[in-house]
Amino acid sequence: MMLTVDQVTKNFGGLQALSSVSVSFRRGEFVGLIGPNGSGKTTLINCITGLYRPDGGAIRLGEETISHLPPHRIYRRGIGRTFQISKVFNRLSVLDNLRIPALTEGRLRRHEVQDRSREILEQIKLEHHGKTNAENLSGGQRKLLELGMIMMTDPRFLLLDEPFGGVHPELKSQLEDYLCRLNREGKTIVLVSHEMPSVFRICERLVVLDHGVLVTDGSPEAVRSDERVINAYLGGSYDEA
Amino acid sequence: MKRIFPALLVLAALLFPFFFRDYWLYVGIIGLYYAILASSWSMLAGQVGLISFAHAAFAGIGAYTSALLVIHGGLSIPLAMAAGALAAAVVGLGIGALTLRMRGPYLALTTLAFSEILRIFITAEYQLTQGSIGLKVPLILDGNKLVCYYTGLALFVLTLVVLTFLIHSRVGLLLVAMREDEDGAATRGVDTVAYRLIAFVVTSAFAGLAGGYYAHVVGLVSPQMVRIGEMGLILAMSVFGGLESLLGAALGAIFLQTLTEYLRIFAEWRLAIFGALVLFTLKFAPEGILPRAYLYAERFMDRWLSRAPR
Ligand SMILES: Nc1ncnc2c1ncn2[C@@H]1O[C@H](COP(=O)(O)OP(=O)(O)OP(=O)(O)O)[C@@H](O)[C@H]1O
Ligand SMILES: [Mg+2]
Repeated sequence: MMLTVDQVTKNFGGLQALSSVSVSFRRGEFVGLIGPNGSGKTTLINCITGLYRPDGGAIRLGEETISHLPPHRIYRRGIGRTFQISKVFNRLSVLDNLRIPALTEGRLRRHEVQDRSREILEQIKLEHHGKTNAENLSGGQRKLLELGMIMMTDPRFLLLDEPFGGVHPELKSQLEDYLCRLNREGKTIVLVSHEMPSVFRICERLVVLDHGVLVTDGSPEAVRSDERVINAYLGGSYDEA
Repeated sequence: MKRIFPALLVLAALLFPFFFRDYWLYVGIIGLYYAILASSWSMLAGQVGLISFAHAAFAGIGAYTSALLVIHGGLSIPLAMAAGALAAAVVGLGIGALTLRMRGPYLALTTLAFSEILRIFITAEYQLTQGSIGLKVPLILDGNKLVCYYTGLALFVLTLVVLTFLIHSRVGLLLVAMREDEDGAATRGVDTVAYRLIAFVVTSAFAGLAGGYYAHVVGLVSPQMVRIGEMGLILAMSVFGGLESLLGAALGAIFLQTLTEYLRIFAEWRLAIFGALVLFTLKFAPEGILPRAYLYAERFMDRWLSRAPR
């Protein structure tokens, strides 16, 4: 099953946050989505997950166009995401946070939900915080909780917006391992991150955005030596290159 | 304190008719009407974050539906009241389906407009409703005050039980999540529109139920019931009693309803007084005056108990 972004454009007033971006993510890929601040990475994820409606173009999952669907339907088709600025439910306990996505999945029985949340708490290193309110977690723990929440329903696609932000360095390598394991188990992962060493280490393909334009799409080696990417990160416009 | 307080309340409510007769019993009967309205409205505003200005209007729908079904349809009063609640739910479903897809103030504006349209409709449809003169309605057991009171109490308890159950169910958990972070909930698979609609329809149904009760204990329904001023009263009661707690809002209703009786000489100024009370509450005890008072009482009790010799 392929997730295809087809010439998607998104404007905010006069600002073109995405200009006719086309990219597709194949099953089992581990893709890094990178680019300088304000280049449109989060906007692209918001379009895919239904929070923003593209002004032009379409997003397809397999043959089906999903860009007109509301967010909860897109989620139920197996596309999960995390947020750059964590969105956890502060006044709910960690366990209740995990229950939310599971409750929307009618197929899961009560004991299945319990088993699964116990399993996931362990994976995200929050096994002693099940009863803690999410507001009392550290920034890094919230990031992990977000990942845990979507893992409750086992989506095929994981779109992760800065999952390492605020995560303790020690935990970070564990999180990297966890992501790699998920990927080996067949999950398609799109990783947005400013942490270049991690991105280059774990991604097999990099997509680079700059000013809403897709600049490069290729292997880390190719991207590393791409002049346009270097220029984008140095602040220049690639037109001048 | 946590356990004694509700027990005391239940006892007081059950024994109330033995200490108060006639006038004050009647005040209690009407107080229960407002208690149902305020607790269901506060559930909608406090738990779901939806501001509806049609709660009094839904009560009106319940009242007229029930009254007309008894008068023209020959239905028994309990059945007619249930039909009144159903009618309010159906209209709630219609309004909700039209507006809850949009975020922001649309529900407030639509319900406000709907209330006024309904009031004008009731006033103008003289053939059916007797217009502003009001419609005479058969009373529950010929208006036996004791029966009326306990009927109201039973309906009120039913309201609290059903809404509390809803809050503690999975629907309630999803509603809390939605209120915390709407996008967060939607991107984890929560159909936010559907759950908002469920909450709106259920609370509207209880408003309709309250309306039917009102019709058959007062014996007269008129467009006065759906005035915007009535809605203001429900809002004041809920805010005063606290939006976070159903029981608080209900007590707020009974308190303000009693106060209304004492303030009769102020006539139309009463609403201004209540308005001031709402502003005062929101400024100094946004969680509601009664929850605040309860907190102080609890602290006082704790201190007093710890000082008492064992
Ligand atoms: N809701 C919005 N309203 C207005 N402008 C927006 C909105 N969301 C994003 N933008 C603008 O769109 C552009 C792209 O933003 P976006 O958040 O997608 O960038 P990003 O690549 O995620 O950046 P960062 O690395 O800082 O997270 C920016 O100029 C941003 O200001
Ligand atoms: Mg971003």
